Amino acid sequence: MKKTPAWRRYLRFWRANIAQDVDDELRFHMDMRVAEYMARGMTADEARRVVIARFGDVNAARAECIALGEVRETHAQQADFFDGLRADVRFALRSLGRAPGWTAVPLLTIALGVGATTAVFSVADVLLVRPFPYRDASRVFMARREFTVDGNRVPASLPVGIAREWRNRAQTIEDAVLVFSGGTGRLGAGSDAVVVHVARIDTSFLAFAGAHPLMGRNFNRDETTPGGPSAMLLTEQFWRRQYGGARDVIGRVVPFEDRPHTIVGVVPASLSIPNFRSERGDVLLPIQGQAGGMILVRLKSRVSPKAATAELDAIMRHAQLPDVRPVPMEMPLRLTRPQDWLAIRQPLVMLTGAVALLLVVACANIAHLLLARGAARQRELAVRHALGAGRARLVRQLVTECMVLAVMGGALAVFVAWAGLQLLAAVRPTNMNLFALTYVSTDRGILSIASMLAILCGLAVGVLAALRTAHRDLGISLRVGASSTPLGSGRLRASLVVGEVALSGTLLVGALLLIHAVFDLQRTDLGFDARGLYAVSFSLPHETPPAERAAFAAFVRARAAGVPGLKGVTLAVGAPALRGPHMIALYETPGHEASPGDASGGVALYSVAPDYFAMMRMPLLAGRTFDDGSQSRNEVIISATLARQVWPDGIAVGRRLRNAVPKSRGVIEPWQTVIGVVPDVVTDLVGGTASPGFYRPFDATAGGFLMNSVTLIVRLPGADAAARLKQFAASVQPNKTETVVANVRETIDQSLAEPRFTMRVLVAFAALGVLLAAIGLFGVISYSVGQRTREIGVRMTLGATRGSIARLVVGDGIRLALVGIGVGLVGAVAATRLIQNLLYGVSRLDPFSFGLGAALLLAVSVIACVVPMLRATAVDPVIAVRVE
Amino acid sequence: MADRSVEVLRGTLDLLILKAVSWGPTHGYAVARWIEQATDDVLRIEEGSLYPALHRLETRGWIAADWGVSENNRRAKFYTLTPKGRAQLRLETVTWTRFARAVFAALEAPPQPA
Repeated sequence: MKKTPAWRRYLRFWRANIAQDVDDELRFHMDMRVAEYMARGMTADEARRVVIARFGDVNAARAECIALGEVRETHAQQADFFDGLRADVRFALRSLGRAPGWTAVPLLTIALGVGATTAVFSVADVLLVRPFPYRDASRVFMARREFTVDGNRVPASLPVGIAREWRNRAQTIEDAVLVFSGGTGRLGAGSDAVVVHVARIDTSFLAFAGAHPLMGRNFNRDETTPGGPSAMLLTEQFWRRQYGGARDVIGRVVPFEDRPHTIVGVVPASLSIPNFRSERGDVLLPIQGQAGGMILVRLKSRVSPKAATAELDAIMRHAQLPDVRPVPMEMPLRLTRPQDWLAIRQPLVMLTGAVALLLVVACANIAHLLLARGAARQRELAVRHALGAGRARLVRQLVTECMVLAVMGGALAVFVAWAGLQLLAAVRPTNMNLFALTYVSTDRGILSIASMLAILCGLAVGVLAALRTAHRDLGISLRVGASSTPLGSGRLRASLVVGEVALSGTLLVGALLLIHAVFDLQRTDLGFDARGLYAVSFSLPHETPPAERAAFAAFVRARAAGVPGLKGVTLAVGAPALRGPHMIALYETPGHEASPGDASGGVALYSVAPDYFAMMRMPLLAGRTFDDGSQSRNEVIISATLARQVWPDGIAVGRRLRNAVPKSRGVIEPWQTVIGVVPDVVTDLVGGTASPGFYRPFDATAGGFLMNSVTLIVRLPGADAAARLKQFAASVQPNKTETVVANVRETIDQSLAEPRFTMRVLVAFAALGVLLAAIGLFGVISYSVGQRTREIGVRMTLGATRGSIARLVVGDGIRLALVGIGVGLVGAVAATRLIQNLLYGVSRLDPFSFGLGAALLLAVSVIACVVPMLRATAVDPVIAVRVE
Repeated sequence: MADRSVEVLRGTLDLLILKAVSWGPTHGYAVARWIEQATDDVLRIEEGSLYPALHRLETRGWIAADWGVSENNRRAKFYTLTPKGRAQLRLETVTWTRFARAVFAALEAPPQPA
């Protein structure tokens, strides 16, 4: 064995040499034994031989010792690391605790930023990413045709036969099922009746979605054939709400729309059904016979939506189905994700973007606070560096500090997120079915999103601040001292503040644009006088004979006239408050018959009594209103837009027209004579322009859409009008029908619920963003005032007035703010392109919003500079100069 | 019996090592010597297994090692008993004594009645 040089031991400092240690130890043993035997009289060679023989297998023992040594070394390193980490965390907690005021700001910033982001992300996650939890959801698409009314896409239904054709013939899809919203219906009888949302489904829908009834069973074959037994499924939510989760509902027979239905099963709450208007469903009924709706398809794997669309479209166009009209060419088939049709989608995408911006502002703010603190700690760090702490060790310490902040902030953020979700749920519009919010709650999803974001923030901020701090020449810091940081070291901080101001400026301009848009929408001219206007509708049983219906209409109208204080009453179908049905129409005039390729559009269909226009305070722009003979003479009244569309010269009265669309199914409508022109009315504030309106004389005996209901339009001023009308409705028809009393203005305003919601949330984000930017600006200016105390003192000694010092300090802040505002406005020009269609006509470059945004930010910036300015002007030159 | 060395069972070796280092820092050679002397050379330990046993006990945290200078002025690895090791020593002493006493009692017992 070789002798070990003594210096080898010093390598232990760098890294343990396990093998060498074991060799040393064993050799010591052998040498001692040899010495022992030699002392007993053996020769050296003899002794060595005996010793080795006695020891046994040296190599095996050596190998085992080395292996054990390596295990110990690994443990020791891990223990060192965790010891160091524990020490770092303890140190971080202590140093954060020493400056609770300083700590609170980044902590709250993280909590607010991460909390708000978490709240919005978890809603987006549920609503955008996984709202329809179907089997193989990634391949599920919704097939629908749509037409455009006033720039809004309106779905047109597909007949059930098409789903069957697709299922049988299409090669690109695995399955297709038809579902549709069945609107509302009356469940129960008499005073126990409730209005429920109904969806109609193919029996294979459950299998398609991969769902099973919680209780009971799916519909059977008999129940889906016309004339078979009537059955219904309840959704879990409705079953819990209405029946308190009673297990014996299965088999109960309840009247639905006055016909007995048997409850055969309950489906789980997770089975959501994409409906046209609402995502809510209470009761599911089977599709019987002919029906139309939307078709859900599941593509075969590795089939593109485009290829499937082409095939499905071809099959649809060539389908030879009895009772199914040929599909108009101008209505293309589209395959979309079911969730794409959620109304909330676009605003939510926008809000997600906005909140991400907010988080970036928050991170910039924290980074910049840490930088300021890092600068103030130059001396401390320099001393620790001089005492032997390596750069890496210092960086680790700083990163640990940020992580400690991030973890504490993240914990707070969970509460903020929870509160934020409650708030979102509270201010959400009622017609925006954030049904999924109930699933979000404060589950693991939130926790994981929050912690992920917090750790990301902590790392980003920590590494940035630490590298920046440790990068400087620590030696210089020690020599020069803390109060005169080299010039230019503030550049990063300044650019962070500029960035913050810019991002919050972008948010602010976006929020102001939305405010402007909502404000404008609210003041839209409706085309009629909505003050005190109510729609009171009575629904009648389906089988009510026409004569009885007409008698009932006359009866309620006469009774309503007796309500004290009533300013007017009339009868109508499709009153503005009720969003009269839209019809696809293509008008032709004698001599100008429509050809198949002509574009059709939507019109709002009304059926009104002769005094309707007077009651609504809609002036007749031309012609006259209906009289008793209008019905038999096929007379109609149209709105100004429609008149211009059909006759560009605008002269409509006395001319004739008819809807050419029914021709495609072989129905020729009679010519109708226009006897009057009225203004367009706005029924949906968000829709933009007014819909073209088509009025027919009210005739309660006529069949057709909505004719199982009779609607009174009344004008009744007073705060208690709604209550009085409800009373009246109950007195006219106790227990027999559903009556709905709707304030027209409120109903129309409901269309604003969604933009208003988006606006409120964005305003909250913008306010938070501006607050954070102000804190950032305040921090930078305060810091620079602190650093320049001496310079300010010197200036004052040399004769600078307090005013000029104030200008100096505020000027610094304003310069930063102005650069930030400039960048922010440029950013807003780019960013508002994304929200253009949420602005409903307000220009996305609206100078008012941009100007106000800039002015507000500037004002906030000035305020943020005031406190540091006061501190600067209060500097006593004598003390300031003597500070060092 | 006296001239025949007994193979030391592994568990027993651990116990003897713990005892050997219980009076203060001891290097491996001294441990081997102490065991030989204390047992009148009856228990002659297999030296090839002594060192792995020492390292095993060190890994378990029952003994701690440090480098020092031996009586003849050479660098040697010294082992000391840790508090954990001391507790283990106490426990194993009790166990071993009871075991030995039980075996002894059985060997001394009168023949089993038929």
